[in-house]
Amino acid sequence: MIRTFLHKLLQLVPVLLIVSFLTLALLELVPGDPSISILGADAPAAEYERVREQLGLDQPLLERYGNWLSDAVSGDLGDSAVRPGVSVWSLIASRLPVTLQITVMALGLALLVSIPVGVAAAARVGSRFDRGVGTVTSGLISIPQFVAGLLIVQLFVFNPDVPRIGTAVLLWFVALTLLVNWCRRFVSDREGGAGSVFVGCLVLGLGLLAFFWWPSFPRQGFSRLTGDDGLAENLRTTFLPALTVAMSEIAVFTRLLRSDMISTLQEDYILAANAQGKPLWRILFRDALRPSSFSLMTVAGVSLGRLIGGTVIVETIFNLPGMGRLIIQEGVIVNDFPIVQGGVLVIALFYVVLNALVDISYAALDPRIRRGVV
Amino acid sequence: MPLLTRGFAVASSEKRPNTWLGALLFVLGALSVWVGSDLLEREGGLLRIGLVSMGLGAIYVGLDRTMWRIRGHRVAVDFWLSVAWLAVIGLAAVFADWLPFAESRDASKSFSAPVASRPDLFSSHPLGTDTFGLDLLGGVVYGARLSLQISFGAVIIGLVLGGMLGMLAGYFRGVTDEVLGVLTNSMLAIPPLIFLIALMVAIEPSVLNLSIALAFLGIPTYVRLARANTLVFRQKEFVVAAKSTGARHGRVLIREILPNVLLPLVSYAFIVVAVLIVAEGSLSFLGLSIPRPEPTWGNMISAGANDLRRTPHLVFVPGIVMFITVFALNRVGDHARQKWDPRESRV
Amino acid sequence: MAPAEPEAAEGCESTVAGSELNIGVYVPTGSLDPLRTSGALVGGTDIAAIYDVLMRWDEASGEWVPHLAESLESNSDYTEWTLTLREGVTYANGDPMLAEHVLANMNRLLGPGANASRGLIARVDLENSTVVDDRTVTFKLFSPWVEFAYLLGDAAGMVVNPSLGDAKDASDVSLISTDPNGAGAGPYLVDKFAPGESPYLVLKARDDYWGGPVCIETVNMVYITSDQPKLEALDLGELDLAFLRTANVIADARSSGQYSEAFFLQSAGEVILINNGVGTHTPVTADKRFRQAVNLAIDSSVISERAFGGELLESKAFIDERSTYYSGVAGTSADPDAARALVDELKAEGWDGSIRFNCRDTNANLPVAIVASLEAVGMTVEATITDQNSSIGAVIQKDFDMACWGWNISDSALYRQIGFNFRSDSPSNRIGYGNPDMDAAIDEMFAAPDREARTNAIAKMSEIFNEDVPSVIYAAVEEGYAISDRVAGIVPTQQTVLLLGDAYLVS
Repeated sequence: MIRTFLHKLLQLVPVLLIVSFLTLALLELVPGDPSISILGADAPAAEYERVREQLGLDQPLLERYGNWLSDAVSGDLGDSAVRPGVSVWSLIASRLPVTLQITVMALGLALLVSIPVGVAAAARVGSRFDRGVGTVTSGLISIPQFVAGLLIVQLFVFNPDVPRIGTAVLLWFVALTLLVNWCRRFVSDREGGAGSVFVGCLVLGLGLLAFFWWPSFPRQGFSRLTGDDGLAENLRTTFLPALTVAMSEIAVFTRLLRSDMISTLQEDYILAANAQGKPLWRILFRDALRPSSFSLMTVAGVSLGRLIGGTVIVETIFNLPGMGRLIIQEGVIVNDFPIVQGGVLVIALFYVVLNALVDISYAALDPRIRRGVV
Repeated sequence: MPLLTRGFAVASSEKRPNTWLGALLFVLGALSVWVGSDLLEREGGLLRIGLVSMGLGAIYVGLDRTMWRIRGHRVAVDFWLSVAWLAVIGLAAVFADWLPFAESRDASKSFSAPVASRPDLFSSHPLGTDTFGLDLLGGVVYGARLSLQISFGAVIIGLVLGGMLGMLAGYFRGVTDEVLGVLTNSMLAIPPLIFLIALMVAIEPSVLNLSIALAFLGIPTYVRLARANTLVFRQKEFVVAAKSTGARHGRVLIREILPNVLLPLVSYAFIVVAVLIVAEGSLSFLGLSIPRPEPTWGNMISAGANDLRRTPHLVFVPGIVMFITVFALNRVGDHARQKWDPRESRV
Repeated sequence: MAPAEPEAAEGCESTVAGSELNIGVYVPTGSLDPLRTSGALVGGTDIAAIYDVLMRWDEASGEWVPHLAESLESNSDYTEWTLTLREGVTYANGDPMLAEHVLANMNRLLGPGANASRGLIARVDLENSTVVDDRTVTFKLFSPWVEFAYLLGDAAGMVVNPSLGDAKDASDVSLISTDPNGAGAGPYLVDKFAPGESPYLVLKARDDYWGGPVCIETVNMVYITSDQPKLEALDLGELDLAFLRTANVIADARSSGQYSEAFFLQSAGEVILINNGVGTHTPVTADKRFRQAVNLAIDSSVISERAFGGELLESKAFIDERSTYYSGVAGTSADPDAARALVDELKAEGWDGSIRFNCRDTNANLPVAIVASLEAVGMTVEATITDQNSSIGAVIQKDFDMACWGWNISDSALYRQIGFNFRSDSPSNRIGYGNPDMDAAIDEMFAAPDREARTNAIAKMSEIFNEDVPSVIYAAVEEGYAISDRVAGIVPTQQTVLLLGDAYLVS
């Protein structure tokens, strides 16, 4: 185990080197230079030359990479080229939490929805519900993120009654189904079901909450956790972006969990538990869910790493000061090289470390992998 | 409802329908769609969308039940509808140049056409026109051609390169595997959207360049897929037999391993094409794909998104076509994977 | 255009605690130093709130009036100007503002930085300008300039406290770029400056402002990338002022009837800049017939319909008819047939019909519309669509044939924009245009003693422009702010800069 851990950690170094060098090489191809961003359009020609020289833009590529690397290794990501005096690290430190929050919230939302739905679909394979879930998830994957974002804005910001009533109705429907189920079981005198009542009432309560206390969501903007308005305002501004990102993740997770659960449910020990008369909930969530969730956890972990670099679109639509906007609009578009290099490095670092952690935890949890059988 | 039985339960309470309720639903659904889309010219957007959606749902359910009744067993209606749609789109894309569309690509020739006109099914602009007077029906079909060209191009490049590398890594293992692993991890570690954006800002957006850029993103996944499958197959008896009779590596790779790795890769390809069509759409939104007036679905949607309130059809026409195509690809891909991917075929 | 609120109305006795103003700007500024800011659209309002202005432009009367200054008088031939400051004006750190600071500020603006006033400051004979006393300074000019006040309404009128102006930190970066507190005499102090965040600038009211109590306690400058979401935020109450520049969005704002306006007309707002013969270019662009062909091929109403939702302020005139300086000289109407004839003539002489065209990517439909119009008369256009900076870069490096551009000649900044772009000796003249008649007309404008004389000079310029066709104008642009009903007392000055010292919230 320690060996694999060290092995993974060692792989980190060449990967990061390759990524950072590729980034700089790519930036060489991007047209334009930062001197225009700094001086505007009306400065005399000599000024632009002077600024270019100051920024070291006439040095060869390898030399620039070497300079950057030697600083970066000691933790100094340099200053922004276009905004002198502003350190890249401080920019990243203020933007990264935003992106992280959106990503984590999105994944949380996705898991919250996909686990019950995936389990239920697997338990009722082939039924109308299952086929419906299959269709809906296919549909969700087919919507590009920017369209999803625009549609969500149209719905939640400009027509808030539609999602409000829709969510309330959906929650009441689910509650009703659960309670009816419990009634049926009560009448036919089967064991268990107390859980059903509890969950059913909870969902009913949630439905009432949704109907009467639906928050109004802003069209754009971001309120920091440490800002004056605290957690409530922060959640209000991050919910819609997180929802947009979560849309496709929900679909992917649901399908993944469903297919894994289906194969687990065919195992002998599940059949045995059923024959013993164990209540359905316990079988599904205690015995079947854990072994089925490996793939889900793997994919979720990898998604976390991948999404951190992929929030550009929601940040643009919802005007969030995150890593995506930092690297693209304040980096690539205005040719601010240090910002791009620093930002990409940090994201790549995150991704690689997360991947390594997922690999290790996978090996730790599944003894077959640990012993190199699979 | 019984839930868990060996060989799991298809919801057994459903029996073959013995009435023509399905056919009735189908007809009612078609009526609903027609009313919602054509007859109601007024702006009642939500009502029309509701009617059309309900109608489409009724059509689907009706078709399902009707086919069930006719054939006697459950027919995978969604699969066949998807195949039909893809065939129509594919054929239209191939024969686009010979189809009688109004001007849909060259803005210098459409000066006389009406600007941003709404869809009118029996006119010369059945799906309307955009802000340049370019026909949307033709735009959607040419856009299909471009989107499919880019996506298939990317998939083919990725499959060939990634498949080769993955097979080599899985077959030879050792140092080859290590090095390829590091390279693959590097490619995965670059944030994909940022890489794409930077690349497309740097190079000129053409079909070939876009294909290469998008392929680049998918290669690591193909490598892993090919490698995983190669690992499984290289231990099988027929491979061991071939090696023990002195066959050279190349021969073993091509004749024994490749055919078995190819099928799962190809079945995965459908889904990837779908994902890439969506990715091209996102790139267009950011202004980095093929520029107008040459139509791609993505650049049609993002051009229309600026004025959503006044001319919603500019977004919805290409948007719905793209959605249905991607959806259909996903469906077909699902079924293909169930048949051909050894890891999925358990279900 | 709805008139701006008069300056006199006072909205409060003292700063209203908890009051907030949210302004959605065009582009955020990266620096709070007037020397390092382009000003006007980019940070003009921000800087004005911190440093205030000596003179301001009153759009209603079309005149320059004193703001922080008490008076500005000239001699009879407009070569000498005497500026008197108000009594008792202090910078935010308590230092008194003295007349010599104004001179020092002008000298400071000659240094390197993004602000482009040095071209106009060159008209001032700084060596022979004298400080009369603590409150008075006399400027000597090299040549007559009737609206010298313009200079004092821009960066030269935003006086920086000299004791702080040159302070630099360890890495030689100007301190007041990021922390200008104490350096300005304006109504607001900087509470937070964080470019890239939203809001990127938070201002807090000062309590010893010369103009009396500053009613609104906090001003938030917010950056939202495009106009449509800005209007949506304004509709939803998330913004109180929104800077708009897109014709159809402005039309939407107007038709909603909920907002008052502070819009400014820019003649020659949308231009196809053509290289008249400098740097790297296809030779045919230096030929007037080519430029005339482009001029005749471009129909403003077609461009409007196809790229601007029909809402463009169509205009091919040098100074638009909606401007107060319209001299009656209209632009050239489109005539595709005549255009084609010219193109054929040029092709017969050896041109192959191909030409390069550079445009920014902010409006995807614009380059398409332009290219379509040109190809319809027989040209083959090679279009390059890039981000704004690269598109500007190509022009600055003088490597272009045609480019999307804007000269933005507003009534309040005639001198700056016309002088910069059309004088043969101006370094900002990117296209290599030079005509001694035009130079003479520009000098005439600088020396024109009244509006009528000025309009006459402009008439001459318009005719020379139509004759020479240095580039093709196809639209005027309106830009400015839609203002929510909750806010009053906003005083707009030149080039979309707003003065916030008298603003208050209507309860």
